Amino acid sequence: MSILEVTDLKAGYGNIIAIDDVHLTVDEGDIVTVIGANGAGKTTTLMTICGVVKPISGRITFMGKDITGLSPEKIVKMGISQVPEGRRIFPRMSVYENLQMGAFPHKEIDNDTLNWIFSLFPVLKERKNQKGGTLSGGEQQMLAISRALMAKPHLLLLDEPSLGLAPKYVELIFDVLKEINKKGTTIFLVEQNAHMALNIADKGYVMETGRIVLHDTANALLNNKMVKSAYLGE
Amino acid sequence: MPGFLIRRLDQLRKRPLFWGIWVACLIGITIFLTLVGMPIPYALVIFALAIVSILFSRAKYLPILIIILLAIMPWTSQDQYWLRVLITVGIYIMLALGLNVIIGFTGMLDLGYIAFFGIGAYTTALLTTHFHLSWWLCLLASIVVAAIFGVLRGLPTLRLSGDYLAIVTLGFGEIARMTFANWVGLTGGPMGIRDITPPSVFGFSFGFSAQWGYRLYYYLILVLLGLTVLTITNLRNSRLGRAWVAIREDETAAQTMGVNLSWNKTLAYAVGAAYGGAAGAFFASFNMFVSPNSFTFFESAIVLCMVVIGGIGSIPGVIIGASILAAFPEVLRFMSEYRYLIFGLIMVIMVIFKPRGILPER
Repeated sequence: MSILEVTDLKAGYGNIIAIDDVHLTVDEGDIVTVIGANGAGKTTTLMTICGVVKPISGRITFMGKDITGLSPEKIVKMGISQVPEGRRIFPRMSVYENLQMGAFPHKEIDNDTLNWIFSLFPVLKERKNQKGGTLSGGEQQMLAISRALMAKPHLLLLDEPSLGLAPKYVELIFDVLKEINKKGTTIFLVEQNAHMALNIADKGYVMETGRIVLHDTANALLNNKMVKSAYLGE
Repeated sequence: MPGFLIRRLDQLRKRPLFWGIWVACLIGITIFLTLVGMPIPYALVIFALAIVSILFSRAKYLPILIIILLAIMPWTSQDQYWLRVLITVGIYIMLALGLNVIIGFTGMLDLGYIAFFGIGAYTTALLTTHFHLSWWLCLLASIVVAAIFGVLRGLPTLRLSGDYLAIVTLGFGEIARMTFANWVGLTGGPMGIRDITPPSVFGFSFGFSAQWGYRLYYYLILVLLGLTVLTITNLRNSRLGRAWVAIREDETAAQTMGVNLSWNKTLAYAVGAAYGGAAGAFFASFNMFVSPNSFTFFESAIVLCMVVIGGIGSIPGVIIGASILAAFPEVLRFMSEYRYLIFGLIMVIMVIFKPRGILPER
């Protein structure tokens, strides 16, 4: 059953149209990835789904409800939370306060979720009272993911979680994403690191200059000639 | 001896030069305060406050020690002039803490904050002189009226930030002052409003008396300040306070966490303005006179400086910043006009060497 359906989506900034004619379907329990080069429109797609960028036309439905053009705070309450590009944690708030912000739609922090997150990323427990800005890049990414999970989302959107991280952290993050998915959270992942993304995904979309040019199962894309030469460097 | 005190003394022993300079500075300031005319007991209490704050900074009972010292302070001397100065410092601390909600927590620049102080002061002045309402009711009315104006100013400026917001708030401050000065029928214009009755409890007036001097006003502002610090600290650690700080840190990220920007920004304006209004209500009854001259842009700028120099967002920092800057014109009175030269110099030095304030946020 599809949890998220994007139909004929068009969005942009001012007069510039960044994405056009975008169709996407995310099935419940899947990991779906959108790969593509810089400026292909991946981030805009994600920002439009979570309500930060207002669509020009098209339709977004989430769990059967039309969420097109809703404000971000309403969308997060419905169960879509986001790990933004560049992490964007709150640097002068403590790790714990960042997590409390993640739980904002639920008013109170949920202890089961908190314990689960601390078991996924034990380092965050150690640094609970440290300011977010003093963490390393990899730890900040862990915090950004944890913060999004605190909202107990049905659908987790991630924008370039591997960006600027050491390979050790990239592997760790992707392992955790698999684990989060196993626990029942559907994942929509936007990535430039096509190899890593397609390896954990069930389904993939390829974006170029604002349009979806190809979509298939992740395995098929890994063996696709065009994908191989353009995105996997083989 | 409690553990934290041992650790603290150990810290002091490890960096003798650093703490030596600190204590030398404090002794210097105390001597200086007495030289400019502050009664020696007052200066000694201020010195004791500083030392206690350093030694017991980790102790849970530090607030109690501070309250005890502040409570006995007005009885150590008969001097009423400096007691008035201390009360004025209290008013400024309250203003700076209120402005800190808007600038420090929520990160919105405000150059017209003094308007809320004025609105509170005029509300109390009008209600006591025309309707002879009890001051306590006037205080409540001033808080509510100032908060309403905070919302009214907030709504049209929600989409603004940075320079644009600064200009609008600056304009609002001037509009308020011009209204006080020109609506002669209501506000008395430049002549102001005189003979505001002091607060009283069961017929016992808080006003100046031979026996009490200004001490009752002093205790009143002390209580108001205590409530201000208590409520603002709790607000900062509440869900609402976190939403404000998140807006300051990253608006878009805050929004994607489910924070409604318009609602929370408007609330920050209302809450900040409410403290300004309360300070205004106190000021009107303490001064027994209000006129537009007390609410100039210069005052807004000074309160802003208190927040910035103390440490934007930090409650103890803002209190220290406000204490220093508010006492400044009195302490340097012997220099007449030149004192603002020194004032400017200190600002420049602070911005270069301690850009995040005397006591930055955590």
